[in-house]
Amino acid sequence: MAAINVTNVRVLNNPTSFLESFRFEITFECLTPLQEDIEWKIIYVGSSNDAKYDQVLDSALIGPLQYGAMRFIFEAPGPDISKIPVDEVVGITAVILTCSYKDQEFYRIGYYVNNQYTEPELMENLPSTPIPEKIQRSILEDRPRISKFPIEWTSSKTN
Amino acid sequence: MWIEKPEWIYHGEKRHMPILSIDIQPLMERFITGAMDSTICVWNFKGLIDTEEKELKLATLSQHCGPVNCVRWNPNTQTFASGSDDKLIIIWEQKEGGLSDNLEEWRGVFTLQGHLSDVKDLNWSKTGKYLASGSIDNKVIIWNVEGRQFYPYQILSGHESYVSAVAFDPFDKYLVSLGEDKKLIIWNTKDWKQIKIYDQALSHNASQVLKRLAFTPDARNLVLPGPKKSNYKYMASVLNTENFEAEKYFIGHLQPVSVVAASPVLYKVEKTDKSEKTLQWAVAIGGFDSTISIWRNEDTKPIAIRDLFSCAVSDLSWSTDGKIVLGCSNDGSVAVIYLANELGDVVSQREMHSFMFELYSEIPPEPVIQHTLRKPFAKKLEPQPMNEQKEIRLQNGKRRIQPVFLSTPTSSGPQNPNQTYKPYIPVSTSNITIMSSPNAPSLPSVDINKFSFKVNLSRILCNSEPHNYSESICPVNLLHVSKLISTSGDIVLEAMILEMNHVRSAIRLRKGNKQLWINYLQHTVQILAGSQYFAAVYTEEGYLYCYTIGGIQALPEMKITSCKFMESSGHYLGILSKEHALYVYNLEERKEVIRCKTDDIEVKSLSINEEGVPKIESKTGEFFVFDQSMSLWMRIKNSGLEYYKADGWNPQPLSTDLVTSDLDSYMQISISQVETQLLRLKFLGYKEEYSYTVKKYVNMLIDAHDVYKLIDITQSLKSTNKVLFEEVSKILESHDILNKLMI
Repeated sequence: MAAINVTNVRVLNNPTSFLESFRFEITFECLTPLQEDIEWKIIYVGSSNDAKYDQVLDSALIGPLQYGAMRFIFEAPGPDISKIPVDEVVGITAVILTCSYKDQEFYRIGYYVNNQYTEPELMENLPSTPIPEKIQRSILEDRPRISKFPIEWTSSKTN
Repeated sequence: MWIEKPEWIYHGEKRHMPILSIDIQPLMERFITGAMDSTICVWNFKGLIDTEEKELKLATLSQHCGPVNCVRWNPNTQTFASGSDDKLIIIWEQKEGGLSDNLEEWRGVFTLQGHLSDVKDLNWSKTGKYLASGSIDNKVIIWNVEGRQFYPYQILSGHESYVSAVAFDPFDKYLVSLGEDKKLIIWNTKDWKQIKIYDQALSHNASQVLKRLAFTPDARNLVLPGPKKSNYKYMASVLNTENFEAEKYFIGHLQPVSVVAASPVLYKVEKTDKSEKTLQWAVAIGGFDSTISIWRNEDTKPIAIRDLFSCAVSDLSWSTDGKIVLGCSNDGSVAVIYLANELGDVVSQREMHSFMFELYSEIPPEPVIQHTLRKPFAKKLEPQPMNEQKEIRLQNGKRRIQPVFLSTPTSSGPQNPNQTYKPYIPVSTSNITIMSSPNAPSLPSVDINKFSFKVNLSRILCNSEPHNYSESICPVNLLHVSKLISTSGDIVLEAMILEMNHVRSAIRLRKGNKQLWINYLQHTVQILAGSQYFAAVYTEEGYLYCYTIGGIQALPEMKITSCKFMESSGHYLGILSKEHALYVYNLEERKEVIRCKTDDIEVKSLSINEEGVPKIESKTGEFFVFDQSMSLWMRIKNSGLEYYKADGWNPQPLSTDLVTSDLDSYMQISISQVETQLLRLKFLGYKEEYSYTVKKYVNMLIDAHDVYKLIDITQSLKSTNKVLFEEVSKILESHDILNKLMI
C-alpha cells in the first residue's frame, strides 16, 4: 500500500496566459515514515505524437516527510514555446504531474490543456509563428487522469 | 417479499463497472462493495430500508491497484478486509475525519503481502482472529490479524490449481478450501494439516474461477457449487459435515452456480403435514444465469428470482437478521431482496444457541463485538489556511520544498510490526487502575491493585456502561457470563443460561478452546467467582455453590440472603451483600475469616487478595483495605489528587491550589505526601517500593535541611530495618550530615 496518498490537487491559476507559470496546490498524506524525500515533477507535453517534445518544467523534492497530512504549492515556469512543434502550440495537449520515491514513479496525474487565442480572428487564421502573449491556456481541472503504481517503499523485509 | 435494484449503488462513472463482491456489516449499519476498477465503496445500509435517507455513499476507497475480488467484514464489525488482483489484502478501519470528500474516513491500516498472484476469496474465522485467503497462486494463506502480523501466519499448499474459495466452519474447527483442480480440501485449524480431500466432480468445462461456498450456521452442512446434472441443469451440492459426502443437491440453475451464501440465522418452518416446527437453515445461490435461488434445508423447490441481472451473479450477502439478501453482478448493479416470512420465523439467538448446544454440547465461538465509539458519520476536517512553505535550493541544483504540515495524524500509528495490539474490551476499570504505563522504567511504582488481576467480565455483560453498577445485578439475558481465572488469561469460568426442562444453567471451565468440565445447575447463575483452587457460583435463588477446580462440588450449597459482589483469590472468597455486610471465607479451612460492615462507604467494587484481605473501591474513587486487628477500613488511596504521576516518582501535587510560589511550603507539602505514601507502603507490605521511597524521602529531607525528621526516620530504621538503616547511613555520610545528627 502506498506510503503516500495524494488526497487533492488544485490548479491555482486557471485559465491564464500561456506564458504564466503553472501553480498547483498539492495535498497528500504520509502514512508511514519515509527516509527520503519524494520528488514531484511537472511535465508539459509538447506534442501528443512524440515524447521527445515533453518538457520537464520543473522538479522539486518534498521533505522532510512527517507522518500526517501535508500541503504545498508547486510552481513551475511556463513551457518554452520554441521547443514545441509549431502546429501543436494551439489546441489540446496535456500537462502531467508525477511523483516518485527513490526514482520509482508511484503517482501520476494528467490534465488536458487547451491553448486558444483569445481573439477569434486569430483562431480563424492561425498565425504561422505562434504569439504566446495572446494565447490563453486553460487546464481541464475537473477531468484528471490519475494512475497509481505500486512500488517498493522500503528496502527491508518488514513493511 | 420484494425485490429492488437501487440505482444509487454503482461504481465508476458509467454504472457498468462490474461489482465483484458485496458484504453486509454484522451490525447492519453499512455494506461494502468491491469492483473491477480497484475501488471499494462503503454504503449506508439504512439507505436500503429508509427511502428518506440522504447519506448513501459513505466512502470511496481506491488504494488497491487492481480489481477488488473480495471484501469481507471482520465479525467484530470494526474492520474489513479486501483482496485484489494486485496480490495484496488490505485491512481497513474507520478513522476520524480526514481531508477527502468521503463522508466517512476509512483507512487501510495494514497491507498483508504474501500471495504471489490475484487474491480471490477471503474468510474470517468466527472470532475474527484469523483471516484465510485463497489465491490464483494455488495457496491458501492464514493471517493472524489480531496479533497484528503483516506476514503470513501459515501458508497452506495442497491445491494444484487456483484456490477459488475458503471458508471456516461455525466452530472454527475446520477450514475448507475449494480449488480449480476440482478438489475440496478440509484443513484442521489446530495444526493446519489436511484432514480430507474431497475429489468429487466440480467438473465444469469452463474454468470459471468465480465460485464461493458456505457452511450452514448449524454446522451440519456445507453447500458449494456442484457438477452438472444434465445438459441444461446445474446444481449446488449439499455436503454433510460429518463425512463430507453429498447429502443432496439443489438443482435448477441453467448455468453453473457461482456463489453460495448461507443465512446466519435459522428459521422455524412449519410443515404442512406435521404440526411440529423444525429449525432449518437457508442458503442463497447465485449462478452464471443471473438468477438467484433461495433454498431451505428441506425445500424441494426454491424461491427463484430469474434474470435479475444481465450478467452472472458475482457475490451474495445476507443481513444478520436473515431478512435481506444483497446480490451483485458483473453488470455493475446490485439487487436487494427483502424477505418477510417466506422462509419462516427467524429463530432468536438464544434459541439457536440452545439448539446448537443440544446438538454439539457446545456453542460456536463469537467475537467480541466492539461497538463503535465514534459516530458513524464523522465530520471532515476543514482545510487549514496555508502557512508558509519553505523552499531551499540544494547543492545539486534541485529545489527542495518543505510542505506545510496540516494536521496531526488521522490514521493509526505508523505501521510497526512490533506494536502489540490489544483489542478494546470494555472493562470495569476498578480492578485495573494502571498506575504505570507499559513503558515505565524499572522504578517501582505503587500498584495498589496487586490485590486482583481479574477482569470482571460479568459486570460488563450485565450492564451496558462499564461504570454503571445497578443495584441488583441483572439476570443475564446474554449467553455468557464469564470470569478469567488464570492470569495468563486462558482458563475461563463461564456460565450459560439454558432454557431446558430441569436445568436452568450450566457452568464450565474452559482452557482456550478446550472444555475442561461442565456442570449443570437447577438454578440460574447470577455471579461467578473463581481462583486457581475453586470456582464459586451465586444463583438467583440465593444459593452459593462451590466447586473444586476439578469440577466437583466441594460443599453443599449454602444459603446466602443476598449478594452484590463476589470475588475470590487463592483459598478465599469474599461476598458483599446488599445490606452492606462483607464476609470473607477461607474455603479450604471452611472458616469465616472476616465479617464486617461497609455502611457509609458506597462500594463500587470489591477485591480480595491472596491472603484474604478485602479491598473496596468507593464510588468517590477511594480505596479502602480492611485491617483485621483494628477492625476498621483503612484508606489507602485518595480520590482526586494523584500524588504521583503514572510514569515515575516525582512527588508533585497536581492540584493547582497547592502550588505556591513559596518554595519552602512547596517542599513541605511534597514531603508530607511522601510520608503518607511511606505509611501506606509499609502497611501494604511492599518492601521494595518502601525502601526506594525511604531513600527518596531521606534525600528530600536533606534538601530541605530538615534535621528533626532525619533523626526521626533514622532512629526508627535503626530499630526496625537494619539493612535499610545501613543504606540510609551511607546516603547521609555522602552528604556529610551524619556528624550533625550524631548517631
